[in-house]
Amino acid sequence: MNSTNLTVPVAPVAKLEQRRPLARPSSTNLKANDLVIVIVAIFAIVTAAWAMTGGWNQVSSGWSHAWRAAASLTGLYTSLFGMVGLTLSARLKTMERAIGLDRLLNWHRIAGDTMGLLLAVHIFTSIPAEMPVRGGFINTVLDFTGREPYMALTAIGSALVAVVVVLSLKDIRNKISYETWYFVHLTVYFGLAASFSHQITLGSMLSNDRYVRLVWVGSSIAIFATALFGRWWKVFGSVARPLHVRAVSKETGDTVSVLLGGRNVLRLRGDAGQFVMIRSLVRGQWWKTNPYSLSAVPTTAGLRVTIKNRGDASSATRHLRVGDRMAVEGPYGVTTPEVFGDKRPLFIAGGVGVTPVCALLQRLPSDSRPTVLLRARHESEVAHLSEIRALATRCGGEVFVLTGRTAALKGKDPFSARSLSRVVPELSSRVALVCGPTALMFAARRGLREAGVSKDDIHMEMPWW
Amino acid sequence: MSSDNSSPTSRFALARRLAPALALTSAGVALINVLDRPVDLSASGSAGVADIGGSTEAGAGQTVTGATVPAPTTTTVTAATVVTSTVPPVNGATPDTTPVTTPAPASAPAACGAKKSTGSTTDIVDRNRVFGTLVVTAKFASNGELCGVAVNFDVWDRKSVQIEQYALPKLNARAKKAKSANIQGVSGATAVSRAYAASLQAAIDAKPL
Repeated sequence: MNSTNLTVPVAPVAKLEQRRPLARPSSTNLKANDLVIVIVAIFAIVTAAWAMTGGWNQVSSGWSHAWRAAASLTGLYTSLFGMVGLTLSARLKTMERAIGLDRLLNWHRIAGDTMGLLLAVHIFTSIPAEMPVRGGFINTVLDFTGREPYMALTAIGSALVAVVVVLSLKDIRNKISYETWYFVHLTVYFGLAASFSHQITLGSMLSNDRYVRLVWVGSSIAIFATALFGRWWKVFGSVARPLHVRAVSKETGDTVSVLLGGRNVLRLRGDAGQFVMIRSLVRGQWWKTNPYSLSAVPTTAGLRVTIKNRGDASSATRHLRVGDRMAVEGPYGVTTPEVFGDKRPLFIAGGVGVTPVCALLQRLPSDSRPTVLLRARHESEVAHLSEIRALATRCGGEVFVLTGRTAALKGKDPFSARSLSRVVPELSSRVALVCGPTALMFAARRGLREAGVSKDDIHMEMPWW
Repeated sequence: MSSDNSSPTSRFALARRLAPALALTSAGVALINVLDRPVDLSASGSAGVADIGGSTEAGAGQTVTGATVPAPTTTTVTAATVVTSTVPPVNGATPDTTPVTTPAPASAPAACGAKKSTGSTTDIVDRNRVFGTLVVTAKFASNGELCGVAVNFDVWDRKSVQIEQYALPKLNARAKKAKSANIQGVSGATAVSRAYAASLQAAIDAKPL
């Protein structure tokens, strides 16, 4: 993991003015497992508190008690998952360095889905739990939607949360534009805040013990504040200190590479293999962000990203002009050159997924002998191909480009363990980086695992949207 | 998603995409305003009184406590077939089970309440958590039989108020029927039942001769 043996090549990218690489991203000892342990511990503590304040006794003392116990436990879990989800999306620096923004946001999505499920269980156990005391189903529902103080807030808050969770189901989300979904999804802040107060007035565990209540309210406020500031402060910062487009050059028919530079680049820390969230500060675009991988080692001269025209915001990149302001958040991501250690790298990339490969190759030591497998319909569609070839040759590696439509490769899965091990020597002892469309990533991962590459040696950034 | 490549900067793009979120939020706020009609259960502390089997005089005696109690919480159940409930019909907290009309023994009513004794003020406690206190006043017929019970309770959270309102009429009816403190507890209100039985036992023990 020491970085002294990783060198930065002088030549290949382009003729750029005097430049040196940016400071590397900070390192952390935190591991993904540590975070999982902390989350599990918090759940265990809350469960224990629930059991000790009567929850456990209620379970075994008749139906109405059992409903009540289930309602309070699922209620607690629902708000815990909400808080975990908020914390994950806060992009806290240490957490991001340990886990990577892509995985954080995937976990964020899972936390959200789980919260939605638990919310449903909470609602449907609360009603039978309170029915005997409140006089029937109708009365209970009326109480819970307005007669009970704070319950109107809660009911509407939960409804908002439910709407957001349902809209976030992949099939539904892909039917609406990303930004429409994103703005609706932000109303979850309102939903969570609105449904908070009933936890205090009705939650027996919280309403009966002052210290428990203090800890609960305190941590909720802290987490909410962290999420709001952690998330949105970065947005304001990036807008307040934007980078400028220094150069735009056409790479292939539908990709351009953009160099983002300026004074503010010196504030950033980053490395090859990372990605940035870009908000183009031009009329009609400023409210959209898109993630792009760095396609070169970030230097004081700027960050180079290579953008494929996929429609929406990226189509606007064709209209980019030198001097346009771009708000940049990040760089994020954990697939920095350190992941390769002393092992031989293997890159599998498809489409515009070549960009991080190009950046990472620049940072590999000259004896690393990487193998690069590229998948495209045609060689002319691979951005930076000559650059990748030059870089790979420099460190003793090979580049293979597999072209043609997948349908034309009938019967032969190009990423099966057999085909991979035919092309890639020493396959099982390599560290692989896979980047490209989701289908390619899954196919490559399956093939690599079958070929005996260990799970920790396969690195990929899963899309989170 | 391959959306409109041709017009990447259509004029109302942001407004169109913001509209659903704004509509959802404002609908939420509006609905909250429509729905939020809290029934005030504890404007001046959650004390309450449940009275059963007492004569009107006995009932009047209870209004000393009742006066400090906001109207909706006072649930007075009189044994003599009349069920008085000051709870407005909109109050969902009124349990269906409240109108427990215990048929009073025909001979007893006039004499009931000739002797009274007040039990101990007992904590309503579940394990180590205290929800409040209650105190039972037992009324005895001239022959010394337990013929009516009134309870004053003082609990600290609104949930307990609901449990009290639900459980105490039942407990009163059971005590009256059993004519002793040896009664079955109300499920869902174990702590109350226990405190009730203890206080009632104390009241019976202190029965004036």
